[in-house]
Amino acid sequence: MEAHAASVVHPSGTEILATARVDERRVAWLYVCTGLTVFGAMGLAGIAMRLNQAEVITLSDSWFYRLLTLHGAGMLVAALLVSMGALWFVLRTTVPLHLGRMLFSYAAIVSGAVLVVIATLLGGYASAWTFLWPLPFDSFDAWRPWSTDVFLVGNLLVGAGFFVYCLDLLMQTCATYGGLQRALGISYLRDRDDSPPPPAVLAAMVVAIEGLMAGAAGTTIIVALIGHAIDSGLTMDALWAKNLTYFFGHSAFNLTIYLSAGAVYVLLPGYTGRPWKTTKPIVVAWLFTLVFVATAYSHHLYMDFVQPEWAAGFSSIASFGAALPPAVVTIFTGVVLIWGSRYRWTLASALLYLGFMGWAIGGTGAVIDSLIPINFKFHNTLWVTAHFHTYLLMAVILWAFALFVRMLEESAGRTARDGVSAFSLGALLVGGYGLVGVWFVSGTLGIPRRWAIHPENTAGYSLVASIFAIVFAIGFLVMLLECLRLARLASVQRWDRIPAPSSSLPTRADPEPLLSSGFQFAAVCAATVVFIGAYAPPITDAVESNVRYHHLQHGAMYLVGLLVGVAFASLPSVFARIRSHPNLGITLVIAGPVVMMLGMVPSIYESLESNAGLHLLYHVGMAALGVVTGLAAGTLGLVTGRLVFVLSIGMALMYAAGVTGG
Amino acid sequence: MADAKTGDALWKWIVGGIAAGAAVLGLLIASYAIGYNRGEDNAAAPAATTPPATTAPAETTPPPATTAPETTPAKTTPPATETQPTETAPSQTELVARGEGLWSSTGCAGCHSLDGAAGVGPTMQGLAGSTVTLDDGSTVTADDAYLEQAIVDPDAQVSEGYKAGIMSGAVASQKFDTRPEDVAALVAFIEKQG
Repeated sequence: MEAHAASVVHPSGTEILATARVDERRVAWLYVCTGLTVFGAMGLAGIAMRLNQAEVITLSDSWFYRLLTLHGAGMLVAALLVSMGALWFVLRTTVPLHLGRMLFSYAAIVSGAVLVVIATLLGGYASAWTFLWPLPFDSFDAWRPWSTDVFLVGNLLVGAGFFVYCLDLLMQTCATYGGLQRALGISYLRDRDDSPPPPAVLAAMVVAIEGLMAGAAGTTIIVALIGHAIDSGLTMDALWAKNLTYFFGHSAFNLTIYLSAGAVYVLLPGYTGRPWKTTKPIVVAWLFTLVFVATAYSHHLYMDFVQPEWAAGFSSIASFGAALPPAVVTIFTGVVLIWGSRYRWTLASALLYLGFMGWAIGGTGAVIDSLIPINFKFHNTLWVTAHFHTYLLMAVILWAFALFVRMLEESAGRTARDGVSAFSLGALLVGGYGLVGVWFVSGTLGIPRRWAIHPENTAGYSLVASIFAIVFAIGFLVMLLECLRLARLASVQRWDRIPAPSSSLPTRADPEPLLSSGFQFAAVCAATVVFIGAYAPPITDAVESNVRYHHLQHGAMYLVGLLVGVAFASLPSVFARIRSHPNLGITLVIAGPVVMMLGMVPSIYESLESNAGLHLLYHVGMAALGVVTGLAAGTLGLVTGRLVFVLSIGMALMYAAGVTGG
Repeated sequence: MADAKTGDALWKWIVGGIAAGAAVLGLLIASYAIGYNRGEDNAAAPAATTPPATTAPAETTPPPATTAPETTPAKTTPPATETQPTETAPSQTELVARGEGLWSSTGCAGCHSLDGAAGVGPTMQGLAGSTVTLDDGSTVTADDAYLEQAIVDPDAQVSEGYKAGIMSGAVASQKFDTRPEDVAALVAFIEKQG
């Protein structure tokens, strides 16, 4: 077996399967196989759309936009599944990630994807994955009204699955590395820590924090849209809706590359025989991403003249700050790691190497588009399609394939055949870069994106691109067939029956309460009493004049409850009882804000306002929801609990800022 | 700083925090009460506190032609807090300049041309004072009132050949109904286009 292993990785490299338990391997297979299957199916939808634009086949407009919607949402699911599975699997030897939560995330994401399929293929839903208000509700009979509801719930489930994943990632990583500053490498940067976390942990921390922020924004806009579906009297500000939609959507797509990069930090050293060490430039690069990725999304709104100019200007800086540092530092240090290492070239290691190229080219395309004058020319063209397909297709998917092949090669104890590897890699490269290259050229020519038909005399571009897409699909298929061969060999070896070597699981510190000093308790109690003022009758009367202030009052009541809940959860006697129930806590921190926002649907609270008693009870209920959320946040540990606290009240504030009606 | 794990010390901090919060809340309530009472006083004697020149719009602003003569003084004399007649009215040149700025900053040019070219919406060239045919076949003169309504409530009267819902959706976030000065500036700019 050792001889086989030596032929799969570098002589000094470490196998990844040998350190994994059987159930951990199965979870990784589940994620990567499902993700690649969804990718294949969505890829077929993409080829069909391209052939339609090439006028080779004829799709009705209705079916084109259904497929466009399905392709966008489905590819997000595919990219999330493969990259989440990859990072989780490589990180679990360093951080004791929770298996059950990972399975819950899988169930939620796959259920959401099924609902998206039902909404698009059966219900005809076709407003694109962006569900921009008010289009989902103005179908002009192009799709059935119920399909909008199903699509939104599907997206909510996908978001919930990713949210749980990020919660677990943040909780366990902070507990293992002793807090936020150590896990982010800030202590190391300030020379207070000699043993910085590995680069994969830095990537995981950034993904977890940004993922939770994006999840909060996504939950707010989707719940608001669901609120409109329940009661058409609820409306919202279109600019607010677009900001939240892209905060969620852009960040989610963006995070898939960072998830994958985290996995590469662990996979690549297996072929170089050298560890990928954390250096200060790597820490700084990821801190840049942490600061800027949340605001970079605004480059999707450069052309929305009502978006404040400062937001556009800051977004341009943020787009550079978020994208360039980790890409440059990771690619540079990765190539340096390979240089002179007698890199073990296999199908998997070649995929890892080629993924750097996709990240570099796709990222450069994005940075060019983030320049405001260029964006005005390019943003609604196929240039944008080219850039995100480059980094998703030629980096995220190649890296997912790398993990898939690596696991199979280790399981089978041998590598993929050289000839087949060369053919499939060649087809993937020629097909992939041909496909995105035509999009880049088409974009510079001004051919618009998201249209079933293209300007006259441009069908030739689509035809060439379609041929390249089919070449890529052939490469994909050949690689899958080779993987099947490796899987057959692995099943003969019955590798998954072999128990993992007895390696001790990483230890984690006990969770800490959210409030740990008397001063913190005093501050929370003082804030609670001040915000109880939100219940004052003059305020209740005054907010009747404006729906947003009305929602703000409800948010303040929810905050009262949150503060009380946090204080209670931090009491030593209470904390000792609740600390062992983080799963219940995770459930409630998701459910609490969702119920709070749904409770602000006009048809629910307006009917209560005529009765003073019921009205008061409703307001008390808002605080009660806050108490539940606060107590639940207390089970998640210091860093995660506090972030959840901020995001919960943030959701109430975001909702109040944009939702009107009633 | 007390350790939260020792119960006695913790309760002292909690009680102290509640007391501090109560003090802040008390100050807020007191401020509100003082402000409320002062407002009541003002409402009870508006004439005594408001300079005469600012309470009678009739003296500074001629009533519009549509104002019914039987309008009661109570209706034509707004509360002291709402009157701003002492502000110097902008000159026509200033209005046009302001309107030009708004035309650019609010993106009107995205749909309406100033040179007669076709667009998503009708051109502004020669619009002011012209006779506009509406989508129901009726006609209306594009006077100030028409132009103001077209900005504030675009769906009220839709020109023939155009669709309702497009401009109203685009300008909803501008809340022109709360910005009469800006609407007047835009109208002045449109009139300037001939």
